Amino acid sequence: MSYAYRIDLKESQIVSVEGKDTFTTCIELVDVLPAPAMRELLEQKLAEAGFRSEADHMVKVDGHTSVTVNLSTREVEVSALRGGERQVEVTVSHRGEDHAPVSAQERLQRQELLRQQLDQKLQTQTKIAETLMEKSLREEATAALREAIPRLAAELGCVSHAVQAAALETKARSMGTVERVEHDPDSQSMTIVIKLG
Amino acid sequence: MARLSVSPGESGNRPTLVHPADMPLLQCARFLLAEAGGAPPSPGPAPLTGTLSLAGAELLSSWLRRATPRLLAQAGGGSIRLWPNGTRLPVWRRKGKSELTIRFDRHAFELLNWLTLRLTAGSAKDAQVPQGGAVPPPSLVDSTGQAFLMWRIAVCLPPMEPHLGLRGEALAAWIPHHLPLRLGFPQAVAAAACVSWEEWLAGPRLTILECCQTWLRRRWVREWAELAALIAKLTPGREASFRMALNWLDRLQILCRRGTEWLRISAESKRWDLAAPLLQATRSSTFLRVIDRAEGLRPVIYSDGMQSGQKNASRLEDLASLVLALNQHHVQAAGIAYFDEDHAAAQSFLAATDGETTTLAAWSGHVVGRIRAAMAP
Repeated sequence: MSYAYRIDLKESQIVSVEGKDTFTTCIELVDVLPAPAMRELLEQKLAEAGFRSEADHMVKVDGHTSVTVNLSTREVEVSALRGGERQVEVTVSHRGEDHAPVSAQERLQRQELLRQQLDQKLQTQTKIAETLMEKSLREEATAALREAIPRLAAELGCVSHAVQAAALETKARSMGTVERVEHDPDSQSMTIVIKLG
Repeated sequence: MARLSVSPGESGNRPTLVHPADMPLLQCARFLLAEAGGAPPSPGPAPLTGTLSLAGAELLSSWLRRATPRLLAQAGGGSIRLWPNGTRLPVWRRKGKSELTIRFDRHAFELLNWLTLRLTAGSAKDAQVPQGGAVPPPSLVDSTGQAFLMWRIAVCLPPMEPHLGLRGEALAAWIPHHLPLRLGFPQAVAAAACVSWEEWLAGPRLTILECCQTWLRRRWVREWAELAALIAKLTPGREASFRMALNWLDRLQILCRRGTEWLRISAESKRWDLAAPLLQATRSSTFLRVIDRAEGLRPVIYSDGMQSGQKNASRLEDLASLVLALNQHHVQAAGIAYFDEDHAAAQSFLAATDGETTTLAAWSGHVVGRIRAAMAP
């Protein structure tokens, strides 16, 4: 005689998930001075803007968003990270039909097989839930990047302008006596008057 | 004996009597040499001998003699604008007999025979009828007739079932060796070019290439139009739209790289005019629809995150490179002095977009700006 059965299993566990997204760009500078001097100026202006030095990079962290500037290549990498430990709840349901076990050993074997099947289903569902959570976190990271990019573009634009202005001034001083330096913030231009000789 | 009525392009002639065994091959030749396009013939299960009777051979020769210049004239005629009077002269008024002679030799006949067998295979009820076999490779000798027929076969075979497979096989085998086909079918799957194109830049093969200019322009306008139509509507955030966007970028990159190769061949051979069809097709309004699509891709390709979005968007740089290469080609052609050998060819290229309201430099700057803006997140 056969009988139908249904087993519902619910499991809740803490998993560590993260979603990350990155965006790369570069700081464009005209090499008015030799490369080492330009690098030094860039490092100085980035430090003034709140970046800290890490080997050949300048790094700034703002909440979950970090900006890394490679001083040699002038590449900028902006990354946003969302994550941590999250609770995942998974429910699996198993239906089946079986005959009454003939012996205690057969009952144990069937229970073991059922347990393995349920464990496998749980693992699959947990992985799916983790993947969905990671995707959601990555979307949050992307949204954070979208918000940060305009602000960052303006900030790096100021840094780039400051580096260029300082380089031009240094170059001008090497050519003669600088009589006057005027900056026009509206048009982002500068005028340097040099007396030669 | 069988009657074969109205040879290609000739109406009102008396029907010619040929042997019934000649009919399949002659019908196939008529399909390739006819003025208007049509469905390929499905010859009946007549015995295929691979030879022609004397009458059949004479008829075929007559057709080839009449149809070849007509078809090449229809495809463009190879008109080059002469300097300084600006007169346009077609190829038959600029070149000598040796450069205009297209020979239909044994290789050309074998190609025609092969096509007949392949087209017949679909309709053969008799299992003993030969099925055609693999695509014959291009001849290593200078068989200009074979090259001409390869072009006609690729143009005439419709890109739909049941001939799609045959057409694809033929293009895959011939494109690495046949410059007009390589430029005219940029999306066809084929191996990389394995020969130098020097053979195609001199003699009768160059005549065929020059005569294909109008055909090449139409082909590229069509390629841009098909590309633009491929993604008329995409929905950001959907997996299917994302996959379509990536597939579109693949096709776009293939087109752009082929176009850049075309410009390189033209510049290296100092035949600046050979790139004129590409310039005309790219300055058409159809190309601007491709730019519109590229701009519309941005929300779709960035829907999978900034990192993958940037990587995919950077593929649009090939499109910007093609536009910049066209502009560079134009600048180089404009710099050719009047006493240089390639001056006429350069002037012909420069005249390709006479009548445009904006200069090429201004147009290319505007278009490249739009493309680079489309790449930003």
